[in-house]
Order: sequence, then C-alpha cells, then structure tokens
Amino acid sequence: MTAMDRLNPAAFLIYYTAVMAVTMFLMHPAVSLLSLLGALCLYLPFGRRRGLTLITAAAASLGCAVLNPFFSHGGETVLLVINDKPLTLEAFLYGAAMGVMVSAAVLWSAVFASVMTSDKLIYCFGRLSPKAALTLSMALRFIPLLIRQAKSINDAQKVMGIYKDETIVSRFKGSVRVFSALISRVTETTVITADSMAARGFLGGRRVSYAAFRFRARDAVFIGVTAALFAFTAVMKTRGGVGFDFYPRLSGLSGGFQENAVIIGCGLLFFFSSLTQGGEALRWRFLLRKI
Amino acid sequence: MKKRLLSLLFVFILSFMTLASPGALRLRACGVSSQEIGQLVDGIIEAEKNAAGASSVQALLDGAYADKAGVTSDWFAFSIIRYKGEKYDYSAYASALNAYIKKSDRSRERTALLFAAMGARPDYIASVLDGGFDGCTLMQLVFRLHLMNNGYTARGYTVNEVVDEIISRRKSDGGWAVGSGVSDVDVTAMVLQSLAPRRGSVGEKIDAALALLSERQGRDGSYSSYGKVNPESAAQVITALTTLGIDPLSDSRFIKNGRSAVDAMLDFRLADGRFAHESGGGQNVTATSQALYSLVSIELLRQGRGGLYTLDKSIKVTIKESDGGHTEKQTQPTTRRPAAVPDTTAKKEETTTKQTQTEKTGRAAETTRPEKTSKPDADPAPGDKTEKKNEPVTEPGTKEETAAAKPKNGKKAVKATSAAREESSEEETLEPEETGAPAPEAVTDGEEETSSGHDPAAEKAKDKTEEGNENKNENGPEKPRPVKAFIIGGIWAAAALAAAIVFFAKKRKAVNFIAIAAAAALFTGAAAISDVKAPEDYFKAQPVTAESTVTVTMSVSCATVAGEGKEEITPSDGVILPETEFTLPSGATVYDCLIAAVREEGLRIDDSSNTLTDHSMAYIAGINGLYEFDYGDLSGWMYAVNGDFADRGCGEYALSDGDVITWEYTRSLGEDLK
Repeated sequence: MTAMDRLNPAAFLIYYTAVMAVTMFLMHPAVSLLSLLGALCLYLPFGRRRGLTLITAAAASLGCAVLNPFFSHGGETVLLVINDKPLTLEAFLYGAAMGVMVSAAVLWSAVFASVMTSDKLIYCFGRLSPKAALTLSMALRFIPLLIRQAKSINDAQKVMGIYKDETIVSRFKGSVRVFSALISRVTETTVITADSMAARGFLGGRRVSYAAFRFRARDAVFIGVTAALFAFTAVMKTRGGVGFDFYPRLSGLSGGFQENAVIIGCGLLFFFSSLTQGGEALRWRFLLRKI
Repeated sequence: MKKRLLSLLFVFILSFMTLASPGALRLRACGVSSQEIGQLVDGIIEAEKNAAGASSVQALLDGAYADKAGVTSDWFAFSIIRYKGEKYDYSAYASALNAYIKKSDRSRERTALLFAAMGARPDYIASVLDGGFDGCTLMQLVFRLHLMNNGYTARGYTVNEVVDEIISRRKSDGGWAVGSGVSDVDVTAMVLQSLAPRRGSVGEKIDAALALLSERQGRDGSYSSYGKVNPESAAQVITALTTLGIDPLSDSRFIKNGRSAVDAMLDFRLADGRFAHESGGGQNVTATSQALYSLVSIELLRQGRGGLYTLDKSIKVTIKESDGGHTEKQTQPTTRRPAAVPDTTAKKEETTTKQTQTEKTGRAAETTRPEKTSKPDADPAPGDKTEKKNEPVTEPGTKEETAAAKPKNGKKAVKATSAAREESSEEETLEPEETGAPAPEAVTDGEEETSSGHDPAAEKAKDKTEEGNENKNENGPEKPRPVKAFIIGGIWAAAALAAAIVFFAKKRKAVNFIAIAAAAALFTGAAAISDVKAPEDYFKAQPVTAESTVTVTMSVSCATVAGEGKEEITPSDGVILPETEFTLPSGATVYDCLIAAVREEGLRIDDSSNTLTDHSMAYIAGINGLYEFDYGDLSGWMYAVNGDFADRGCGEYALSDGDVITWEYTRSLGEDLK
C-alpha cells in the first residue's frame, strides 16, 4: 500500500470520507458495485488478513440478500408464498444490493484501517483538539491491547494446567476465569496509566502537537482530483434523474445523462486511488530495470 | 377378464369419439347463426330501453344513459355509437360526459375513447395522451393505443413506442395480465383488440396470443376468469377475434365440440335479452355491456365496417355546456388528423385495411368486403408456446391495474374463500412435478384443491371444473408444486454442506455436527408448520368448501393521497380495489378477506407481523406499495367495517354476512377520514 502510505494523512482522510459518503448516500446498485470493486482493487494486493475480511463481507451480503425477503414483502415478482407472506425477487435483490453496499463500506474501512495508523489519525485530529487526539489514540490502542492481554492470560492458565477445553462447560468456565482476570488487570492498568500520566505532567499546561508529515504537491493534486470528482458527482446527483427503485419493481438503469455521469464520476473516484497505486508499482519496476 | 374387456371397449369408444369430434362439430355447429347476431344486439338495446322506461333509444341515450355517463353506461353508448352511427344524436350524452369529467378523474383514457367515438373534445383527448406513458397501467396503454390507432397523436412518444411497451409487458406464456403470474384471458383479449391494426409489425405475438386463447377455451366453448366461467371473458375474446378479422362463429380454432365462444356467452343470456354474470344470476351491467359490444363487433365485421375500435370519423358532436361555469376552450391545438390522410406513419402498418376502409367510405360503407375470416393466421407460433414454464414470473407486471382501468367497472362478484388454505399441509407432499409441466393455468384449475376433501360439494366442483378442463388434461393434471419438499431438502443439503466443511476443516467434534443437525431440524420444523406455496398455486381463486359462508364487500382506497405519488401506487382516482364481493367461510376475519383479495384480485399487502402461522396479530403496513409513514409520521392504513373504524386488529375482527369493509389510507391517524 505504498502510494497510499506515502500520501499525506489528510489527503487520504478526505478521499476516504468522499468515497464513503458517495457509497453510503447514493444508494444505487451500480455505484455500490463499482465501490466494492474499487475497494477490492486497493485491498486485495496489500490488505491485511484478507481471507477473514472477504469472508465477512461475502457473508454479510449473502445474509442481507437471504434475510431481507423474510422481513420486507414489497415487490411484485413473487417467488414463494410462506404463510400468506410473499417472498419477492425485488426484496431479495434489494437485500443483495444493500449487502454489496455494506461490503464495500467494510472493505473501504479495512483499507482505511491499514493505511491510517494511529499516528496518522493523531496528525489529522491532533491540532483540532489535542485532548481528543490523545483519547482517540488510547482508545484505538485499547482493543488490540485487550486482546493481547487476554491471550497472555489464556496462555498462562494453559501452562499452569488450570485451563481445560474438553467439554463446552469446562471451556465456558475457562473463558469466564480468563475474563475475570482480564477485568482485574484492566482496572489495575487504568490506575497505573492515570498515575503515570499525572507524574509526567499531564494537565500541567497547554498541549502542543508535532507532525511528522509534510504536505507535498502530489497531496494537493490528489485532494484536487478527489474534490473535483466528488463535486461533479454531487452536482449531477442534485440535478435529479438519478435513482433506482426496487419496489414495487426494479426500475432499471434509466440511461439518462445524469445517471451515466454520476456512475462514471463515481467509478473514477473509486478507481483513481488504485490507478495511482498501480502507476507507482509500474514506475518501481521501470526504475529497477534501469539499475 | 370381462371387466378388462369392457374397459377396453370403453377406451375404444372414447378415443373414437375424440377422433370423430370434428364430425360431431359439424353436426352440432348450429348454436347461433350469424344472421341472429343483429337480432341479439337489437334485443339487448330493446331490453335496456324497457328497463329504463325510455320511449325510444334516443330517449334512453339522453336520459338513463346520460345520467350514468362515465360510470356504467359508457360501453352501452359506445356500442350504440359504433353500431348505429349517425342515426342518433349523441350531444346530450357527450355533454353529460363532459360534465362528469369535471367532477371525477376516473378512467380518463376510457372517457377519451368515448369522446373520440363521438368526435368531441379533441383537446381533452390530447391532454390524456400527452405527457409520456411512464407509470401507465397496461389498460391505460391499451386505451391510448386505441386512440392512436384512430389517428390521434401524442406529444412525446410515438405509437410504435406504445406498441413496444405493451409487447414488453407480455407474460412468458404469450398472453397478458394486469398482475404478476400467468396471463388472463380478458386482459390478453383486450390487448389483442388494441394490437389488431398492428398485425404487420407484431403478427407473431398476436398469433401466439391467439393460440393461447384457443388453448384456454373450455370444452364447451366457454372462457373462465379466476377459475369461473363467465360471459365477460368470452365477450372479450369475441371482440378480440372480430377486430382481428376472425369470425368466432366459424374459425375452427375457437370452436370446441361444436360450440363457439358466442354460444358460451349466450348461455348467460336472460329471458329479456340482457346478460347475467353467473348462471342463474340476475342482470349484470358489466356482463350486458360487454356482451353488447362483442355482438356489435361481430356485426361490424359481418357488414365490413371495420373493427369495433376503428372509429367513424364522420360523427361530430358539439358539446352544450350545461352549467355555464366552465367554458369550453378550443385554443389547444387539435391533434386529430384529418380523416383524408390515411398514409401517415402511424397508419402505414395497417395493412389489415380496416381503418382506411372506414375512413374512405365513411358511414356509407355497406360494401361487403371479402372478409378475412379465411386469412391464414392458423400458425399458432409453436416457438412461443414451448417457452411455457413453471418458473415464477419473469417480468414484473403491475398489479395496481385494478378493475378501475378495466371496463369491468361494476361490482365484481367473485366467489372467494380462504378455506382451502386450511387443508394445505397434506397437499404439500404430493408427487413432484417435472419441469415440462403445463403453464400455470391459474384461471381454470380448482380440482386439486379439492382432492383431499370428501364433502359432496367439493366433488361436484371437481366434476364441473374437469368438464371445462379436459382438453388440457392431456398435458398431465396440475398438482400444487411440492415447494415445501424442496425447501426442506434445501435445508438439509445446506446442513450437509456445513457438515462437510466442518469435517474437512478438521473440526470433527460431535458437538459441531450436533449443532448443525439441531439448526437444520429447527428450520425443518419451521418449514413443516408453515404453509408454503408456489405463486402459481397461491394466486388463484379458491373454491368454496366450507358449509356456511359469509359474503362481504371490501374496497381499498387511497383518496387522501390520490395522485400524489406514482400513478401505480397512488392512482389519481384513489381506487386501489373497487368494491368487490368476497365469499368466505364463516368465522373469517378482515385479514382473511384481504388474503382472498390478494389471491384473487392481485392486491399486494405487506403484513409486518413476524409470526409464522398465527395471523391474529397481523399488522398491515402497506397495500400495493403504499406504506405507512409514506406521507408523514401519522400516515398509515385504517379499516372500517360498516363505516365504523374497528377497535381491533384486522386479524381478530370476525366478519358477519353483508359486512362492508373499507380500507383507507390516512395521513393523520384517521382525522382526515371522518
């Protein structure tokens, strides 16, 4: 994820916000699908724990598609009638579209999480409110820390021979014991952290921030392209004619100018980051060859 | 041995009779002769005149009919206009209709057709046609096509676009229907009437639909709608055939065992010449008017005066303003083309010449042209027919096209019951059906529903339906699709897949497999107590099997939000379901009545309660796509029985005989409905 990593955090944050806004608020299946593909292009080559994320996303989409017809009975194309309630194709497709949208959002967030390390987040928000930045950084550290500690307690108990995982009951008892130990440890850590912060002069005066990132010309270009594409999409959307109805029947793509413009604009927005990435990779190859 | 010989002999006789039936046809084909048609038409008009107490037909037109202009008498007037032409003065009727459209916005297309027939209000016709046809119901499209076939043009779209749109709404079996599911005889016939002048471009589709109509015809020549033999369906088919230039009295495709659709329709003729909706019933306006115009259509064909909807342009009526409050504006550009220009693009395809014929000869067209009855349209397009399938609906139809858009605007008396649902569980385990099964004939089959019942009434119903059905039975009788078995099979297949994954992922603990089996068993249990039906089995009329029944009337209206959203969701006349009669087993609730409307009238309801089989907690969140909260936080559906808003859920309100249920959409918790 080199290109995104070397970008100024603010530029990437703006890009992520724009992408998420378009994906979540446009509610158009073509846009959701493009968003998913764009996120995959960025995520698949570089992302961490790809298998788990992909399985989660696929399960979410499928789950939405399968479950939605049982709760929403709108639509005309009846596939099956269960207890006088119709299961309709439209509800299924609506669920599938929602699933694709949610998967796309999840994948973009996965990309975001792997690009935006906590120092970058603090860079972005630190100047706005140093206290909030500190809280954020501690909160971000909290969950991984908790998991690490739980694992170490678990391992310790295993080594001591207390932990048994033969039956469900014993496993449950084991996890309860680990949890209780974890909670005591967390409480203790809280007190220690607070004391150590006070000892280092926290609350002693106004906090300042330090930034290790520079704002380069390429960041400006990146932000400029993002803003231009977002503005183009937004303007086209407000001009109307962009919409997709699932109920009572699929409206289909209207093929109108605004709709095509919005889809193309979104497509460019979703893919230009991975294009940047790909261009960088090509350049690297080229430079290697010259050596 | 003796028994076997006897049965063999019996089979021989039966098959011989089947083979010899064309011979029998010739012998018995004396039901009605074409000479009698004119007398029948005159008989109906005479009976109408007498019933209204009018001294002459002119008085009938100016009096009783004008009073009901726009409501029930439009088709009578239309028939008389087409049949008698300039013999009468239609200005009073036109004025009455003109007054009516100021009060009501219902069925604008039909009103426009009436005006077109009388040569009045071209500006109104233009305003009906203008503005695109997005969101038009199928029937609105059909009426627009009728108008455009007569040379009216619309701003924004061409006649070919309308034809394409109608064609695109074709069902997979080659016919049309207003809702989803299989095509309906009436609707298919009405669409054909409008497509008739377009034979040149869509001849294949017309032939496929004709083949379907031929196949749907009962053994005694009759036609059924929603499983019930009725004269209206036959009338529509007759009209469709005659507008296509086919003589229903002599075309062999539409004569079954020597009886034509006309004979079947005449079975419902009453002593005074008018028609009943059901055998043994009284006079029915819808049945009479539709029978009248179908007979007129035959007569027009016989006299060579073109199709029923090929309007006579020499008739020009001027409208007298009854109440001087609203002056007629003629400033709008008239879009009616001069009758002397038959070679415009819109008419070029009319190679059937019906239209140009009337246009050239006008009213004086008594020249009997060589009729097209012998025209070789006998190829029933086998390619289209093989596409029959039992997959659900491949193209979304519009269910909102309720009777408001159909000419059947009177009360519909439909026998309905939800009793058959109660015997569902056993039926679900019937033998599986092959994919090559006949197309879902939602309109005619009722016999399977009764196969598990033993009461005599059901047996009788079975015999009756089988009579009309036997020519279809060669394709194998229809059984409810064993969807439940498939679902349970699917659940266990998924469980097997999960078990395989667990196995190969080396998580082979007994508890994992037990958990999978338990989940599968849970879902199987839920499926087993549920009533699962394929849409083909669900959306059709249910025969009455209960001993005591109640007959109630239900209507669904969205008058408070009429015309505010999409036309198909909030129709501008506010009528989602016109007053319709339902016969239900006694003890039925309002919810059961809604379900009957869903199954028979194509209504769509959204019950948001999440119970399995118990419907007492039903909550109606939406009807036909119009949902609660769509028009503010206080909006939603309310129902009243006999005018009083009920204090119970619709799943708990038991109905008594003669109850009148009205479902209304409110935007302020019922304040706007008082």
